[in-house]
Amino acid sequence: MQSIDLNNRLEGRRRRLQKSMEYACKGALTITALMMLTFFLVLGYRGIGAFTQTQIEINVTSIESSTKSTINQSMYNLTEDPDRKTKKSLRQLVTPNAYSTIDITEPGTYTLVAHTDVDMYVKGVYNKLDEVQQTTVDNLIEQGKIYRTWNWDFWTGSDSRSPEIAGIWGAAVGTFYTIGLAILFAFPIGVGCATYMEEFPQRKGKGWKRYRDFMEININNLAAVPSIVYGLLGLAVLINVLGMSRSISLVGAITLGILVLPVIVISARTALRTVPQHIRDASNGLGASRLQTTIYQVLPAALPGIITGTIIAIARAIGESAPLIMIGMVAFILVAPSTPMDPATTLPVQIFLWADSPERGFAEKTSAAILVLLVALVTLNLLAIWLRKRFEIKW
Amino acid sequence: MFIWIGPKQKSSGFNEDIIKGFFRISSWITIAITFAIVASLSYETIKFFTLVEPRDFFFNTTWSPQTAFRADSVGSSGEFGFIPLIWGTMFITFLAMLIAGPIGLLSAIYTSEYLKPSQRQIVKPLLEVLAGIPTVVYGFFAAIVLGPWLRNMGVTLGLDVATESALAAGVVMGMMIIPLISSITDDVIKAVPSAMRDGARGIGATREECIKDIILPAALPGIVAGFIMAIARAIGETMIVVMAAGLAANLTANPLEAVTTVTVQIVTLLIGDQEFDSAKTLSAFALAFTLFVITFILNWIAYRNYKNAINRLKQ
Repeated sequence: MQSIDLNNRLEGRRRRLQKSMEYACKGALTITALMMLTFFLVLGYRGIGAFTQTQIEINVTSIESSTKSTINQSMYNLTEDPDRKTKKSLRQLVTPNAYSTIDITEPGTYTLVAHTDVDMYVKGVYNKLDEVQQTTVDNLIEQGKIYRTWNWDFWTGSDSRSPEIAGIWGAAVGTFYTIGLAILFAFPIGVGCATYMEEFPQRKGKGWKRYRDFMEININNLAAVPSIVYGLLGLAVLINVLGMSRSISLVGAITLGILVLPVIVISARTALRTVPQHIRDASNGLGASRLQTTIYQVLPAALPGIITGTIIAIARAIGESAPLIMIGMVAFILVAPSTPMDPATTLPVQIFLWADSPERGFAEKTSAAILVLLVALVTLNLLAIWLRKRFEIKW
Repeated sequence: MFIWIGPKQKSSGFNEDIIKGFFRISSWITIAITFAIVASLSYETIKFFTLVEPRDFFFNTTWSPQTAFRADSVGSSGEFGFIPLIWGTMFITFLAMLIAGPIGLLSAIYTSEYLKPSQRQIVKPLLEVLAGIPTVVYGFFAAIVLGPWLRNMGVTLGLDVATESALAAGVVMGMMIIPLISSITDDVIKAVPSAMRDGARGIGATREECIKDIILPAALPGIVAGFIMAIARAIGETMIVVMAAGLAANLTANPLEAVTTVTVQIVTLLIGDQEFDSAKTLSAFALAFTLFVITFILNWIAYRNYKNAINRLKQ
């Protein structure tokens, strides 16, 4: 028996259509995949350096009047009787931050963070060192006194004017306060609103239907309002009218809470709608009130869907930066905020600030901070997908 | 002990009313938010229009909000022409749609019509994850990677490319909305009843003919709605253009030059401290209100079309 391959029997035009459409579709998906791959590769390539830090080992022989002059003196000792210009070059090999963070009281060997220019030279990004600095650094590398280690400052530090010690901890704490409070505020209201819309159609008639239609348009419109408009809302109402102070996490939290509220409402409504009617009927039939039915039967059944939607809302809020810039959370935060009433910034805003910085050493910090943010968001999204798969109830 | 039982009898008492009241108030809060947005934006906008003629705002072609320090010097009032800003916004949105439209549509056709369910289960979540990437990341990519790269390429080709060209912002914004378009389109295509698909295949149409002649026409209203949603999203997008598009208001159709957008100007006007009585600050609210109205109309049209399309397909 001869097998019939329909695809090879197609003539001219039909065959061309078949081939071209298949290739076009495959091509489109490949382009999307390639774009995203370049995106991640470029970010990874640029950011990976920020996870290591260049450090200099110095030999302190004499204690001077201040830590600064002690460090400077031991830097001068690297060459034999340096002139003024050489001294200046040598001084600039360590981060200016070392003067205030390290306490040197007795002679010995100390490890200091290298200046960003040295850091970039060692990592091979760019070379801004002068001749004296370059020979000194090369010598020190040979002696094993300049080396790269894991960059703890990137994880534990806050923003700084010196890229070599700038870190994301301050921004991470700010993100935690802002997003935590935002969800604390948006979750109950969002679920309450969804429940009211789905479970309590008390009144029949035109007025109620109109109210429902209005709510429907209202929620869907709120979900699609550009995020920057929420920033202006926060600025005009919270800061200008209510007189809250700028830059604090609380204002950011309320703004972001308003922003994610419609997302939570929509996902909660979808989750409530998937709960079949017979559950409600059975509960009502046993004599439960409508509220008892809702609280003991419908909401628990819909909870996995609601939680999934909330996690996606959290991910959305974490990535949001435009409204926070509007309410002044672009402050230069040197110390991590300790309460939600302190000036704070969040990770995406920190990325925005670093990306704008003229200091070239911040370029790799920016990419690294983006990598951290992306890993956090992808984890959250995957968690949501997993939750949906794991706890989804098939009715 | 006797309890009166009747239709008015409540099964539980006081607490029930409190919780119900909470639900009701929650739903009022969402309405209050909409009103707060409209009220606060329109209040500042009206204040702005007492300082600047609405005609100047909507029809002037110059945008230079910088007010001089001395009241009597030249250009002390600033010029608030809205045209170049909305042009820049539309232009970047157009470039983005040029990229995202075809790619998003074709990938949606592929995920919904070609992939096996098991493969679909992997690809769909991946696209969802892509849709969750923060826009500041795309902005960084446009400003730090693509912008300089396009500029260097322009130099080798002998073209004059601005570092903050409309092209870089448009391309990256296109990347951002591909997942949005493809996920909406995919949903619409999936809503096309399989009876239509089977009927077409049954009378001898190939898969591609079935897609071209049956599925796409049936899904078209929904796809158009998805495109409109994507356009609304691109118009309101802020971080990409703040980081990658320029500040100077140019009326140009050359994608290699810098243009500015409505959202860029809002951010530029409001960053830092501001006093709420100058036309410069208030103009940001006028811009935001216009933006709000535009996106509201677009979304309303899209949402109605989308719902009608899905309902019609499901019947």
